[in-house]
Amino acid sequence: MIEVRDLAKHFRVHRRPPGLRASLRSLVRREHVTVRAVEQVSFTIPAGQVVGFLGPNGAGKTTTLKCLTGLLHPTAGDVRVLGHTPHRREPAFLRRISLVMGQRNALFWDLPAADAFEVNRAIYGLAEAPYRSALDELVTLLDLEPLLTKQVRVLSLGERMRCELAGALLHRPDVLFLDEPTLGLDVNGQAAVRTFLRDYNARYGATVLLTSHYMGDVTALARRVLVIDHGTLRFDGDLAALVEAHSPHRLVRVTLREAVPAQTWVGLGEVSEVDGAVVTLAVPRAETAAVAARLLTTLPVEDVAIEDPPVEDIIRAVFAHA
Amino acid sequence: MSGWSRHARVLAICWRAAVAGEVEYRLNFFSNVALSAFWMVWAAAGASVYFRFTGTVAGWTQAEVLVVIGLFFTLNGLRQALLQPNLERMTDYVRLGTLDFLLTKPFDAQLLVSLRQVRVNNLLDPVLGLALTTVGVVLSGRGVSVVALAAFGLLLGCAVLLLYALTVLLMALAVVLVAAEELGRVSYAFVELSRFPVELYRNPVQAVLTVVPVAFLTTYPAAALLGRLDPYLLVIAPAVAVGAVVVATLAWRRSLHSYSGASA
Repeated sequence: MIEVRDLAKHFRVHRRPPGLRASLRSLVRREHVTVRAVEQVSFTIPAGQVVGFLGPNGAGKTTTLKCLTGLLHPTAGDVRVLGHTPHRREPAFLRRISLVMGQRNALFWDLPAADAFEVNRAIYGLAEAPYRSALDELVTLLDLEPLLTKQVRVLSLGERMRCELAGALLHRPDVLFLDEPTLGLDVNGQAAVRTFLRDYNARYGATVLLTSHYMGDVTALARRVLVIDHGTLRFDGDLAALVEAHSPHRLVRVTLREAVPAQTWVGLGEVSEVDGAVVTLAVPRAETAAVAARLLTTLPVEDVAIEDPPVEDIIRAVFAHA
Repeated sequence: MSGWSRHARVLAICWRAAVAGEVEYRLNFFSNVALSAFWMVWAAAGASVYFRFTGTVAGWTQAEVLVVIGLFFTLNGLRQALLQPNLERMTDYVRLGTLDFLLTKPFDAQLLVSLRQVRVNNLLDPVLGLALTTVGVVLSGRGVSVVALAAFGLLLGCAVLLLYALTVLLMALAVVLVAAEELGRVSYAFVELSRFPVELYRNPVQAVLTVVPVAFLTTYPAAALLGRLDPYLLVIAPAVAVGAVVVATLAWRRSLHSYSGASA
């Protein structure tokens, strides 16, 4: 479905040192540097899989996504999506994909949402019956009925993103590229988008490649993650495996009925946080169950909860190791 | 739905929305029509200065120059109504990432970015311009044959294609330069040069304007209408116009090849 082999994308950019003299010099003599945005990236995504694409700003996520959607010509390597070479931008390929970018407008800004959908219908050459069926379904799932007559530009960010998703899915794409789809949305907006995407994937088996800074998006939607940093792939595998590989500890959160001396925790784990009666211990994975049992039997415990560290911390650890 | 009907339908929806948005401001529309009419009369009156002491300038009578001025307003009106609003938005399309979306659609992106917007306030300008052209023809006392009218239609079509090609070329430049708000002035300057017949310019300039090719915008269509066109231009003009569109399309495609998007 998506095959990427040794993908590289370099940009040649003009570099100018600060200062007036340097500015004037750059008028006649320009210095260029090659930025290696993506280097030797390889992965394969089978049909129907949802994959999270993680990395800090400038890591190469969006560049890779743009190579996969045909917006950028790779400097080297092979990219095949649905059997097509994306940068040729063949209509048969473009009809089967969709790109959604948070806080960017794919829908025509100055049209009411219903007209903007009509434009997409005309662009994709959709017949009346499948268009109506897809639209009705999306209007229901995304609760768009009250928004259809409003101009896209007057919608709130959350409303607009719901409309963007509908516009991107009217032609029922086989591959969906999502770049920060919940960026800037409030908690309810994020939850609505995640639920919708999960349902959509389950219903139509669409392949989804998702980049997001919100780990909630990734943990809610993707079991597999690709981690990219400085343009190279650092990890490709199960989210759970990533957590295990880069976090030798789990967090044991103890809620106490009464205070205990600080030395109580010696030998049980490393105290990572104390918040009133709630103490959080970082405990080696293999010892988690034994430590929890000891806590319950030896201390005035009201509650014990065991969890993995936040994925954000784990990703940070991955990048730190890199 | 065939390719052409798909493209026509998309543009029709966009134009319908643009018209619906702008006709709400009726005062703008009518004041613009009045202003355009004023500038046209002003230009015609200004040209009369040249003919105060002579019947012809470089072989053109006053009435014949009015034909050219009318065509200048026709083309400039088309430029302002159909091309300029799209060119003005090009930098935003690149900077805000809208172009990313247009390029991931199974649709001719060049057509969409170059013709999507329409400025209703200027839509009557070409009509006013053609009215002045008609007045010029009548005052010239020349009869217009069907053949001359057909030749005029062909050459006016070529002029519109040339303007379109220039707009696409500037759009391609906007993709590369990103910050290119001033590019609209280039297309205005190009049309502005066609306000008078090229024969009115001194020879080195005249030769340049023939090659550039400003002469194809108003001078040759006017000559066709007035029955004074060299017949070989009926072949040259379409070749120049089609060539310009091909070059502009290639430049557009080339610019997309180096396009790096709003953020990469």
